[in-house]
Amino acid sequence: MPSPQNSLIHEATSVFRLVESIDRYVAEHENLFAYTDATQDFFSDVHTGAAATKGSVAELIRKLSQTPERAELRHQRELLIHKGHWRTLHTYIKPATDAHTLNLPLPLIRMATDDLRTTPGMSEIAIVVLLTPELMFYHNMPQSHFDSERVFVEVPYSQGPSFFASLIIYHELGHYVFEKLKMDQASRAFVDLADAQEQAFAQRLGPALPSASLSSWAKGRLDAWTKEIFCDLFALRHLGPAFSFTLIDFLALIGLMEEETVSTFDQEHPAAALRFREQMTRLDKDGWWAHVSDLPSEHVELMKRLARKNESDYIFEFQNTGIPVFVEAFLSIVPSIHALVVAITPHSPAAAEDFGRRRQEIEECLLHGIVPSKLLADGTTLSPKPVSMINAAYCFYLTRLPELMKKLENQEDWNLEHRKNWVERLEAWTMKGIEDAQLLAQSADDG
Amino acid sequence: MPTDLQSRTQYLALAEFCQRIISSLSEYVNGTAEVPASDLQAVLKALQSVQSGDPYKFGQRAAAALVSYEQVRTLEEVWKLPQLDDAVKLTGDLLTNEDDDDKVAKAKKVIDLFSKLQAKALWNFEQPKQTAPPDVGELCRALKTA
Repeated sequence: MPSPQNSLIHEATSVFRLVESIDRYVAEHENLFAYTDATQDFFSDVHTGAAATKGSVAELIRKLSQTPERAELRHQRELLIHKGHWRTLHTYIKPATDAHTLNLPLPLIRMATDDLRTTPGMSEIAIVVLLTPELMFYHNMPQSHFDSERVFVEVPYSQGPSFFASLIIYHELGHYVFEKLKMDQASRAFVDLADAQEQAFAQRLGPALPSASLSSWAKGRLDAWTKEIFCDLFALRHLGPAFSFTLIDFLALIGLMEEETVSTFDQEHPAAALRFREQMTRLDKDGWWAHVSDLPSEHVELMKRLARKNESDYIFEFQNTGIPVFVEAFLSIVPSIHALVVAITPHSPAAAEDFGRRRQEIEECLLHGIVPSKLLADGTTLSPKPVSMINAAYCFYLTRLPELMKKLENQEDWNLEHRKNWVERLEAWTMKGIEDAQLLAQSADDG
Repeated sequence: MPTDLQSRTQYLALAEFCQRIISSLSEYVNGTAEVPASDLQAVLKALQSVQSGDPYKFGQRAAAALVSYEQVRTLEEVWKLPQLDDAVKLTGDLLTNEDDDDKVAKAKKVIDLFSKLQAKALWNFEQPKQTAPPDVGELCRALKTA
């Protein structure tokens, strides 16, 4: 029978090898592909962490081999925890190495990084994109590894090159911002929101719940729903209605916009009807809705229809059972979410106004296959804001794509292959327009 | 989407929390360190929070090891109520400055309790099966009588 000492050495060797192989895998990919600075920094930290873990494991075994200290259960558990960390990190490495610069909408990632950095206390934040095999966007933050200056955003590998779908990453950034606000405890509006949550829980749920775990579960639901509404509104404040439109498209793609379920809250998400009602309210208050409410698009009609749903139809379903009281408790929190978003994001009516003024001109550019980086105005040129380009392009996508295709020979708007090609071109022109705006801003900064 | 493993890291956080207190108390028991006051304070605060029946605080990062439903449920499964009370009492005793001949014995009991909790946390981290969800019947009954 092997001695505890020998067993421990055996286990330590396996941890050492695991760490070494991850370290080597990362180094090989760094030699093959180009990555964003944020991903490159993440890889550097992997190398540093690998050296630290290998050193710590080797030191543990050295101490047990060369001093009177003997192997105990706690030493074995220490190795298990090291192994657990690296097993977890292992799941991040492949999605991060897949997300090299050829697979990403880089101008959008740059824009999202800049926008995120306007949030108070977040001027150094970097976005690391992970390409996931799941058809789902996700903010990924393992609880035991909160990295306060790095946001991991999972993007479905199939959607990485798609500009419009990738706008959803703004919602995922909201998840990070919410957690960061919890850490920093510096926002008055955030403290007010937490108070509103505690009050809603205490008044309607808390006294009835019989155990600590059930109480944690119930609070976890209210917190998860709060976060989802916060993230939608955070994205909206930066992107305007284009965010709502792309969210509708994406939720429909994954089957979450069915009429039978739009009023249903699940464990992690409030009902779509409530989410879009709050988005419409925010767009209206921020001056966007007036510019898109008459858009001849099913997306706008759908938002109006969802917003009209009666609150009494909302239901929280858990394990196929309607759970009472939760929805009523949550509805009392919603106004505080708006207050927080308004407090920490830029004043957006200026963006809505720019869109209102430039939309037609941008759409005309797109109708002629021209990148809308510069618009003619009063004998001179001006650059529309990137967010105006994005919204005009999305409106164009929803309403005028057939008009563009009719101008071209052998292109039929009912032909899905043709249509797909022109959506991709529209996305490419929009992305190029944003890239040009970034270059202009950069050259202005450089003097 | 987080993999199953990623979403189970909250158990790893709980195991780490246990490891910190086990290691520092082991050093005290072996005579190589003083009573680990700051670690014990953190333990006491977390346990008292569970004891109060309301460990989850809105607006605070759930990095603490005994906050989420899964973590608290793990503790409730491993320790019955008297053991939670024992752990709070023993931890409190270790933090008092009074001379106490039993301090080492008490430290060993705390190590034992946390070792059991850690074993379960590591087990849950390793297992693809999630912690059992709350009992829907119990939840509905509780809310209807509120």
